[in-house]
Amino acid sequence: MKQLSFSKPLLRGVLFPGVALAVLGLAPVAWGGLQSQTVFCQKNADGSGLCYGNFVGFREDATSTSSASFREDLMTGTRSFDSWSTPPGGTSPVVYTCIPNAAVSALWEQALSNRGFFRVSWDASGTCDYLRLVNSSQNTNF
Amino acid sequence: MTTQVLRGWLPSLTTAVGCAVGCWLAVSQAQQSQAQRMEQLTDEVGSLRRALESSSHATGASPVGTATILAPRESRLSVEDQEAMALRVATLLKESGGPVAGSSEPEAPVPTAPEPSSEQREAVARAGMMVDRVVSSGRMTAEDVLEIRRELVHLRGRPEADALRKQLVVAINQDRLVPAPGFDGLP
Repeated sequence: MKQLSFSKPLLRGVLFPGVALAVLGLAPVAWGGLQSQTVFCQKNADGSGLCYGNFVGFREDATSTSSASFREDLMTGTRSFDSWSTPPGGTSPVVYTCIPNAAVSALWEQALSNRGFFRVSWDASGTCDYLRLVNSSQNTNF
Repeated sequence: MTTQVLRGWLPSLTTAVGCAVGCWLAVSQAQQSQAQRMEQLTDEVGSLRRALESSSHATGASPVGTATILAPRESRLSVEDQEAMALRVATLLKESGGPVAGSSEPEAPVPTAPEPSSEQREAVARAGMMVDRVVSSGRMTAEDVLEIRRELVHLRGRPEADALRKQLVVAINQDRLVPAPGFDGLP
């Protein structure tokens, strides 16, 4: 009766790579923590448009001029959103801006303290007419 | 004989099993991540759908398009697709007169502003000239912003100031006016 035996070269050459590949597959499970970095702005010929994303996305964007701001000037009382971002395939940044209407302005305090995902859109007159804020684990890296 | 067969097949078998386990774990991890992301986006679209449905119940209108707007959770939609759907729902809400910014109450009528003082009228005139000059030049520097802002401070809450800012906003969004780098917001 022949006995089954593994030689050291067999262990080194075969089992270790197999185990290593399995561990490689396990590694992402241990990392966890889904994070998203999103940057998107778009506008139409009449000037209406939208922006969405999160601040970490704008800050870490490949284009160093990208930014997004919700602002309030306490002296003049001006509330506004503005963003700089370079469209896909473009070479220079484009500016997007809007002033909130009464309904959106009522939510502005939350926008000023937002640390997650946002989406804002505006009409041809430059009035921000929609605001969405999302507070979620994948957007918390302010 | 057995040992030789094992030495011949076992390496390939072990490597194949290792690869399979590794690939399966990687794929399942990716699927889990994608499922989380889909869940968030589906929730967002779902909340818009609920708002549309409540609006249509209130107006008696049919929620046109909602059946096709919401895809099954198993489908793979990109962020852009989800945003496009959200934009479509927002458009439907706006068309149906429903809430768009989260409030179901109609906006209160804007009170009429009192007549501006003579100082305020002068500030409006000066700021108006600056805004016209900036828009016609197509460029707005940080100094321009500060200069206009100095005038608008005297017009806090006045519709004339809002109209002047809107003039700048429309020009910027139509690419007729480019703020200088370092733009620190509207005046």
